[in-house]
Amino acid sequence: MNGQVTLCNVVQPILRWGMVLSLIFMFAGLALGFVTGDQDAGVVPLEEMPSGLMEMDGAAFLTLGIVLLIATPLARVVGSLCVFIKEGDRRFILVSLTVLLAVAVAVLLGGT
Amino acid sequence: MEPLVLLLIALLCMSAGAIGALMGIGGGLIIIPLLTLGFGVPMQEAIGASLIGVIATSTGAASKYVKQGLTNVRLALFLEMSTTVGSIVGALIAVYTNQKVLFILFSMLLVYAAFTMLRRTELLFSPEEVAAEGQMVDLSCRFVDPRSQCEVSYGVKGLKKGLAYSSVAGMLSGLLGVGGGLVKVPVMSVCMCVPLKAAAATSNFMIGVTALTGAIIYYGHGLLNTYLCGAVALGTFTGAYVGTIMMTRYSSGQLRKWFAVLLFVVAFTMVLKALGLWGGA
Repeated sequence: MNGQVTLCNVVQPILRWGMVLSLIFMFAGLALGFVTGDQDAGVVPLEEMPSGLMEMDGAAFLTLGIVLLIATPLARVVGSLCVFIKEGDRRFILVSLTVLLAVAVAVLLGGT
Repeated sequence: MEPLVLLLIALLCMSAGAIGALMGIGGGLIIIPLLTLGFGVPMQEAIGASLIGVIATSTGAASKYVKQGLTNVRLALFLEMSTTVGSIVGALIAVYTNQKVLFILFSMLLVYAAFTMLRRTELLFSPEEVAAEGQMVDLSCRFVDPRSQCEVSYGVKGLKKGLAYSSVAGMLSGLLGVGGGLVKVPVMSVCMCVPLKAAAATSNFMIGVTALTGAIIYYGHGLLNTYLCGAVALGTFTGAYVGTIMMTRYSSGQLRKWFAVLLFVVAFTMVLKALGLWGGA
């Protein structure tokens, strides 16, 4: 039925892996925080994340988990877009692009 | 925050995840008042953590619902067009509107939706019947009901109406910060003839994208408290998993009644909020 199976086979692993990876990093971050006694911290900016991870900073691990979590719904829209492009489903290519564009506009408007 | 407090927050957020996964709502309605009123978390930090919790609920439950076929991915993308655009419009005009009036209007809308959900029984159409009527796009879908093990094949009707109402749902969530799922589930169920379980699963799936923009903005402004977000996300993930199991235990009819009850409760808290008697979401 209208490519339901293919779409699910692409979207489901994206959700599963997004969930598993973000859970692992968040859990590690919380555990590190409890060990070091640091339990109040804002997000680490993206550029400082690699060094934070090397230093076993709990907040950096948590931030990576949060970023992965935020990226998951976005990745599944992109994943669906790829399926529609492969199937040549023009209407749904347009639908997915509109969603991505709306998200981009919302972020740009909200960021200023 | 103390580790024990974070643990308690994670445990309490499980309820938000479970109800969210079962009813197709985000759970911000539970998480925000819980954090602000229960733990004295500042409003902005609470909203940030709630956005992360909503994405966790959506992702956690959807990874299971998509596999079961309960999530209608095409329908979700189709309606996301209008909810995302609606939420941008809502956020832009929020400054010019009277929140109190909006809360009262919103609660009236919820009461109306609750009565419609209670009065009407589920009406389904086969994909062939809907195709014969000629719709904009084919959104038909198929799933195996996790409770009865029956295969359900359904066609989706009323696409224009669905788009129009879900843009209102998006606008409301942009204006008030709540209400996406509460409006989307009745719209899909009543106007578009989507079976309730599929409507809840699809709405739950969509909420991930709705919360996404807010979460990116909060991240960019450094407004997320990492440990609080981590605790809320772990709690809602676990709760969402419990919710997907609960979904297999109840029939659509039972869920429909519960959803109506949920709508009444939320409508009541909205009125309290409009009158200044409730500080939460």
